[in-house]
Amino acid sequence: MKKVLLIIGREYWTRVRKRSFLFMTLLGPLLAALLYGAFIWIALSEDTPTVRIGICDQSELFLGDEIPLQNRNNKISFPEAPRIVDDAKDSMRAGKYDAILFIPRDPINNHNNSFVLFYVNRIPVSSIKYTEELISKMIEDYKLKQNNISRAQFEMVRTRISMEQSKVSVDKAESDKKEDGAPYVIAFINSFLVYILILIYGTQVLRGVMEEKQSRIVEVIISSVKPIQLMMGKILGIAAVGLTQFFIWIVFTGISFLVVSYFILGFSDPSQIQQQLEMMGQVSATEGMTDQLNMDTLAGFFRIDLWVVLPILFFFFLGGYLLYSSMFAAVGALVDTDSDTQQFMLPVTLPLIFSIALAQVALKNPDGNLAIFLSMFPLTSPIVFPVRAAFSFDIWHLIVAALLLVLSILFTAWLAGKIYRTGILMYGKRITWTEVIKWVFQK
Amino acid sequence: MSLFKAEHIIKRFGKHIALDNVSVEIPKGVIFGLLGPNGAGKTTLIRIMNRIIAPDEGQCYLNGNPLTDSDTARIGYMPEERGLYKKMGVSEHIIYLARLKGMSKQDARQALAVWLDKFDMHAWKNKRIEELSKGMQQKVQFVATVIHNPSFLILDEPFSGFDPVNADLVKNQILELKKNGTTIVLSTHSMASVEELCDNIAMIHRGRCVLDGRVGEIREQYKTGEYEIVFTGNMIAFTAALWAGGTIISQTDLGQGMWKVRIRLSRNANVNGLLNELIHKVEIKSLHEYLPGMHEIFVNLVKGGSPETVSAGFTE
Repeated sequence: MKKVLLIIGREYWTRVRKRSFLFMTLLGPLLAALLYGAFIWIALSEDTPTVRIGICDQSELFLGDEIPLQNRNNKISFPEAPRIVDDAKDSMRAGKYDAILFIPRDPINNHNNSFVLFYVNRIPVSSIKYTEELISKMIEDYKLKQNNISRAQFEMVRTRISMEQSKVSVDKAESDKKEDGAPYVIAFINSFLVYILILIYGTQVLRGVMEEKQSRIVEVIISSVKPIQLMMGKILGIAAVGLTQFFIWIVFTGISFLVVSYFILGFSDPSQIQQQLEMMGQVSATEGMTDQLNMDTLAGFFRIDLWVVLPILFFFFLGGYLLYSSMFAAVGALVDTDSDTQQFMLPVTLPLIFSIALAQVALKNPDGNLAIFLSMFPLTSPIVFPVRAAFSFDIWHLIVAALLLVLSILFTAWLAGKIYRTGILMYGKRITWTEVIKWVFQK
Repeated sequence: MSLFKAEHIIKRFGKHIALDNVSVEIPKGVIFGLLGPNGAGKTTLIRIMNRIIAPDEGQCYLNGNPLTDSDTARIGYMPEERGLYKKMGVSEHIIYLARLKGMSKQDARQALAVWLDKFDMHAWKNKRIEELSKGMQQKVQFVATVIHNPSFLILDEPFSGFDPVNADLVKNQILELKKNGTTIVLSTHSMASVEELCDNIAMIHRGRCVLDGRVGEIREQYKTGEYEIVFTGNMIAFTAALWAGGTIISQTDLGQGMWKVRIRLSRNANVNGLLNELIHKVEIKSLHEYLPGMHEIFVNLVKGGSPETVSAGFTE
């Protein structure tokens, strides 16, 4: 055991000291924080430069009216532009306006395709949307006035519905859970994260074993320790590297989220962001505005129970890594040269690739039979279960999945150990699958 | 008393029998040469000695006790194909390997300092392996092999890759280790180093041990009754005096009337009788019995087998 610890130590420290590790470990959370900051900032920002849309109004219906100069999300101004289109275009070219809105002579009765927006450079879609909605509303108002209907009456008649999704648990005691788009995003991130991490660290095990075999140091090492000790030491050492990275990511991501929230966005509490987003979602719904970003989905991220998702993510990452890395170790022991690697890699990477592909099925229908099966089958569960973890799931599914995974890890390690101890000493000979199978049954 | 004993070792790889009932006995404190053409089974035998692989049948003993895992701490092994972790520092690497052999960190550090002195390696103890020349890497490898002061040292082709100066350095260290009581197995193709260093040898050929014993005794055993005589005088007179006493195998004119002649003594003749005849005809400078070199014995034994194995395997 002392020797395994020594090996774990070497595997761990040589990797953690590398510059690339430091780089990746710090870059990950930084990127996540930046992404998060940008996302929230764009969503809540009122600080975009004002878009000047010159009104070239042939109908003269709008100019007298007070066109609201600003809204909360989009800073837009609507200055008056020359009535002659070519003159208006010229002043736009001269930089007086960002765009010209051409309003036809009779927009009330014939407004289908005669509104035109001229621009030199594209203006934000949100500004276009806003302008469209604003003009529609003004025409509505005009029509309402003509027909003697008050705005209040109209709003009373007009109907817009939006469905809230709520998950009902089989267990009566549990309260219903509000669901929205956020779990899908989390589920996708989960499965992808586990997939990428298994692939990255599994490949590190493969490379490590190959390095030892190719440099022939392995023969010296296994004259001191048993091959299985070397293999396990390597796998666990690299697992420790992965966990270090995982934890640093979580901690730093948390910290940088807080930093971004407090100092850059100016919120004192994450729940404040959630409230703000939810409020904006409601406001835009009542105002009849369709926002580019679904505020409610964004707010949903703050409703995810991290204390459930993170431990599950952690467990399945570790389990999946242990399962796949021992297979990667066996492959590393089988190959002599880099070019041989492909032949033996495929049977290991194939289930991984299948898993990430099948995770999409689980994403579409997290409670379907296929998703349930895949979330328990050991080769796919490390990637598919974290998908289901973002939604609600039966606890016994988790127990079965965990149990099967642990058993498979033990079996795979045993199997890989047999292949490893023979393969590691074979040089200059192309190894066939038949031989590999023979080694497994050797005593 | 033998330090290491392997009894009736059989090892198969599929249908191929790598070792077929091989027994060797290595006395304490000797340098033991393990000879044989490539593919003969030497490496397999060495790996069994190291417990890297287990024999299918047979048993190994160290100091009279069956070999166990804990014995690996007393064995040092330098394989023919050398390798180190390229990214590790020299000291770090040697200490790591020493600790895998069961040394404490502190003991390993102390022992390392001694060896760094011996090999004059202090200047580059903190360099990474990949920054070293091949010769330097070989030195690191050698130090890593002996740092835990093993009582049983197995060196597979220890001189390959060394320049003559460093090869001498290593040779002297091997002799010093022997003086301090270490038993050393030397697997090599270099018959010169076998004659120079080895006390005992075993020769493996096609998975069998075809020859073993003390080097001197083996050469004695393989002698063919040949003598080498150096004299001044007339070659014709020499031939006449020899007459029925023996046959000339080779003759070399050393100049100024001096000759070196190799003869094979006739069955019923003896050296004294021969000298008696010669001494009146020519002036004898020296006479000694010609013992076959290990090279000759090796080639002869191997040639007894199929010629392909010899030409494919034997390079020296």
